Amino acid sequence: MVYTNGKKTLLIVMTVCCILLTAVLAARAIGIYADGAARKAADPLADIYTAEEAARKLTHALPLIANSVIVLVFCLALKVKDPNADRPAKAEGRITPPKEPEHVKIVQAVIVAAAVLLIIAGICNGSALDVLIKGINICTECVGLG
Amino acid sequence: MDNEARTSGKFRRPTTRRLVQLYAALLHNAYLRGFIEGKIYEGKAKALCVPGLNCYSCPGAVGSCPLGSLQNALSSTGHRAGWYVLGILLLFGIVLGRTICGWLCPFGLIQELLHKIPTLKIRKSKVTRGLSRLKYVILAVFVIGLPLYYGLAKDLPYPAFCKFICPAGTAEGAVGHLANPANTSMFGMLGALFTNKWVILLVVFLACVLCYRAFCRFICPLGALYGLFNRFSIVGVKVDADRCTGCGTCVRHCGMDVKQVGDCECIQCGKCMDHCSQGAISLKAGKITLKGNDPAAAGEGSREPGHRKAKLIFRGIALAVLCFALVWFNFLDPSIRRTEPAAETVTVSDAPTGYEEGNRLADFTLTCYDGSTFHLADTRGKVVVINRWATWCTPCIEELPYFNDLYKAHPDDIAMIVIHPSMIVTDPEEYLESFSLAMPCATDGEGDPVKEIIGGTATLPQTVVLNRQGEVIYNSVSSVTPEELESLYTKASE
Ligand code: SF4
Ligand code: SF4
Ligand code: SF4
Repeated sequence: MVYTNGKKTLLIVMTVCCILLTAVLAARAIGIYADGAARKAADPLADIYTAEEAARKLTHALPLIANSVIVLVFCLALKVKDPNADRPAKAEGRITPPKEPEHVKIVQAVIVAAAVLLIIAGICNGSALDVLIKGINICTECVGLG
Repeated sequence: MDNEARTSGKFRRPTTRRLVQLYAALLHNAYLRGFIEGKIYEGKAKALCVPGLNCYSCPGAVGSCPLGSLQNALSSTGHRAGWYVLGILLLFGIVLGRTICGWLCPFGLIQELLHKIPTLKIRKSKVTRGLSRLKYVILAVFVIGLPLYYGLAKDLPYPAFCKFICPAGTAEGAVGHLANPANTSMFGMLGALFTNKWVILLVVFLACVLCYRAFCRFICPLGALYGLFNRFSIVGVKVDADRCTGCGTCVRHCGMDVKQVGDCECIQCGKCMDHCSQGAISLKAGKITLKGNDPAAAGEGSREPGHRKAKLIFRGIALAVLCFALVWFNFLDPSIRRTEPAAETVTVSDAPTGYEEGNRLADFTLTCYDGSTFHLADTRGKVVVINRWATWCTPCIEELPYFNDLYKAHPDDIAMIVIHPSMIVTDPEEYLESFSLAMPCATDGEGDPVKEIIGGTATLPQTVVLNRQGEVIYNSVSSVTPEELESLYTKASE
């Protein structure tokens, strides 16, 4: 790939876009939280986030998102790529060829047998049901909802 | 030929690995209806853990996340040892090791696609190799230590990694639901926790754009766990020591922080095969070579008609499995609990029966653990507070004392009931003994009729407040604070 100055500039612009987009989206969320927390302090029943507020803040970020997409399309069309990305790392010299550990077959057989026994024990002691119940219910805290 | 950039003319054909990754991602998330309806799959297949990091709260997920299940199993050690999850993790580890990371994990695929965004890239160095140790600390502290401590010392489910870090949970679970217009009410429950996890998600995504598989390399405890099995796994990348000259080309070309092919940092992707001039590296399943530069191995051998036929049959079976999974999980699975509309009930008020604000709830009766009966129709003239909680739901348990305080403050003016779903992991009655709650507690009936009446979903906790006329003034799936409860009481009393 010919790595012209134009391509290098595009690559830098794309990098800056990604960093900016991350910063803006993070700042928007923190902004919504700060405003919402102040509202909630005055009225405990008020919501911190609302769909409308989130949509409004996202709309503000739209020009940056659109801009990033356009730069991305240009980069892809021109096959712009960091030339260093595929270059082999410098640090490594010669290496010791990895050896297969001893008694691999025995270890494998023992672990498979232990795993099967544990699974059967788990089905008997109800821990399989624990997994099912946790899986079919959304714990809001676990996924970060609240 | 570079397998990762196979081209035929102008068309860039996806590699076999990419196709397998896409296939696995679709199979992990075969419940496509969930994305449309904004709900999760509630069928029995969720008793099985999937191999990759895929949040079980993702609308499409048809299996449980092994990492989330492990944390919950450790949290409930005081009641029951989580043999099942340990067994499944052992089995995945010894059979596949980090081949799961390189070929099957949906979050690994997301990271690789993000890394395709053309930006300046951060290459591996001593710093990244140092950072790769971080995931073991995260495994020890957030996945094992904290859940075990909270489970044993405080009897509280505490999936610390899910709660504070996991970007897969935020992207697939939280954003997956919030992006659906059917779930706009979920915005009401967002707060500091979501803000924190949203920022973490953005930072992780940015890191993955700039640095190959940053999350896998530095943070993912599941990768750390599977890595421990890498040397012994049945399926994996193996090096023929007789052919290997120790030149180190493979390690230099590898995007991960490996010191040797197949060590605990290796995701068994097999990319290094294309760089080994000796044909010493191959992907094997026991003695069978799945992919390799060895002329005697599958790569070349596959040109033989016999191999081609076997490959074709294998692909046909894989496609049939995917089609079956899509049809089964979306349309046929009898274990999916479909929501039936609440039965029409005659009420004395003009307000329609329902669970939205301004509606009146359909009547119900539950027998409480203390032997008393809670009959909704008998509560007229009082403020009614209904809370759905579960023993496995941390925010539910944390807010129970607030309900208790409110009830104790207005015992004659509030009719309160806290209801556990009918599916039981730990006996709720026994579980509640340590809380000494004053208000009535009950388990929902067979098929969770009260859940249907109050418009409950798979999401917990849920609180419903009725005013003295029996009309719903609040119905929300989110945690509440003592201040909110007091305000709700005041509003309902007006
Ligand atoms: S390290 Fe974690 S996120 Fe990455 S591929 Fe493996 S399981 Fe998935
Ligand atoms: S590139 Fe091949 S020969 Fe060289 S060290 Fe790696 S495995 Fe051995
Ligand atoms: S050593 Fe080879 S198989 Fe392992 S991660 Fe690196 S490129 Fe992939």
